[in-house]
Amino acid sequence: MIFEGIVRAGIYNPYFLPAPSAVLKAIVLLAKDGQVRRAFLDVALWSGEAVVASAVVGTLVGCLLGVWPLGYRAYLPVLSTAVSIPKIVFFPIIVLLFGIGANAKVAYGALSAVFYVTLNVAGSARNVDPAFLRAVRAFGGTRVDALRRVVLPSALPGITVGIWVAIKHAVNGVLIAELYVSINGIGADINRFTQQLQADRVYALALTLTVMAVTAAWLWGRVDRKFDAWRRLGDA
Amino acid sequence: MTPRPYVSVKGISKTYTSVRGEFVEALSPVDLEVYPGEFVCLIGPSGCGKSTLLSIIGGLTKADSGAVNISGSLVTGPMPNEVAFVFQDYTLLPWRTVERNVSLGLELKRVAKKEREPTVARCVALVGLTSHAKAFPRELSGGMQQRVAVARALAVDPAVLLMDEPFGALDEQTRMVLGNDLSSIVAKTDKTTLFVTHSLSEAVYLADRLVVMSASPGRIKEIIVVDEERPRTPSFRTSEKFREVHERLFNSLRDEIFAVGRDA
Repeated sequence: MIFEGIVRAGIYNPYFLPAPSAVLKAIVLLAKDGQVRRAFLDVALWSGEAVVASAVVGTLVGCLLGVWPLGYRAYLPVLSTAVSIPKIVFFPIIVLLFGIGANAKVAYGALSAVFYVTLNVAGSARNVDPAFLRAVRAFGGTRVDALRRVVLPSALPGITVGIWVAIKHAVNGVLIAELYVSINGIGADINRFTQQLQADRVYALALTLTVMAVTAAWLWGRVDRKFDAWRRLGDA
Repeated sequence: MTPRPYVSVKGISKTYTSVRGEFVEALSPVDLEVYPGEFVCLIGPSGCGKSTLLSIIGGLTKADSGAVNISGSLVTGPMPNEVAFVFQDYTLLPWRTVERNVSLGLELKRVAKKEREPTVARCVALVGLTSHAKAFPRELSGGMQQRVAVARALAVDPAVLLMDEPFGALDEQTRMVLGNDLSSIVAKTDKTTLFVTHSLSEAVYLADRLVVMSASPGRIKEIIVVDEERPRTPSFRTSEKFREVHERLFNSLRDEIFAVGRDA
């Protein structure tokens, strides 16, 4: 409200910071555009693919590091560094590998997300109770059995948290890829609207994307609670 | 003619390296024979290697020397078709219900789901937990959790049960009830059982033979036969025979316990 007032009073130039009402109007306008709707669906789809890819890779690598102490000590610093490196420096390599189409966007989204999943899963898989592993061994289980029946369920909290974080980073990654290499799609639209000084539309797109990512993460949180029902038993 | 032993332990020894780099002789060469259907209790002071011995018999720990044979075959690793464990710390998977915990061993033996179900139901019933089949371990008392662990071991239908202080974390009264139940279950199912315990009266109540062990180095000091039919009834606990065996066991253990106790 204050913000709206400031803009209307002419204190701030609406070309750079449009009033919330203008952003809402732009959302309604863009929502009517079939191409824009299609572009949002694409982003959702690519982000979804990036999340799945990062979840699968991150879970496998994380579980392995969790039960392999030497590997954990050797690769944890690498992973921690990888998390904090701006992934954008790898973007040219991604483009070289995957071209400038949808694949590059998914790959960059997955790259942005995968280290968060791996770190969370590894940390959580490390807390596996060795007694459970011994029990599986005593009953004739193989290493794969142990991974599937003990490590994976033990690491579940890390997997779900990792995916929750991954959703946000994957959407982010897909968008950044779009900003750089797209000739159409949301990223290209944002670029174009920015150049045309249509700030209300830029904010409209950004806001919608934020809502999308937050909603996806929230929905995932609900799924997570279902998986984990046993943890809340008997605590009362 | 004496029957062939089902489990035979010959010249098993094991040395650990402690954190400070000292060698600790957990087991100096140990020989033991257990006959089919027999219930043998291993009892001794802390650090006498009784849990290590059990772990070696079950193929979970490698011995430095000697050999273990079960039903004529040399033990080189876990033998899930012959042997099942019950651990002190239950080791139930907390994300699995009672029945899914009981089915774990069968799953690992790749038994089809259809065939698992009746076995699981029967074993859950055998330990008296049918009404808790869908409960998670967290919702159960310690005694009930250990019943689940017993059912999980019975479900794979092993010839040999290895029980490592299974009732160690339970209170005296729960132990007595579980001991009673175990005595009748084992008699019904005709298992060969090796049972590690710290409790003298539990050992006397359950065992056909008591293997008394001493510490540093771990070895067998004496074997006491409990000449009483199984399954036993609570009245055995107050009988003259029980008192005599208990006293003999206590005398055999006294020096060992107090020798270790002074170091502790």
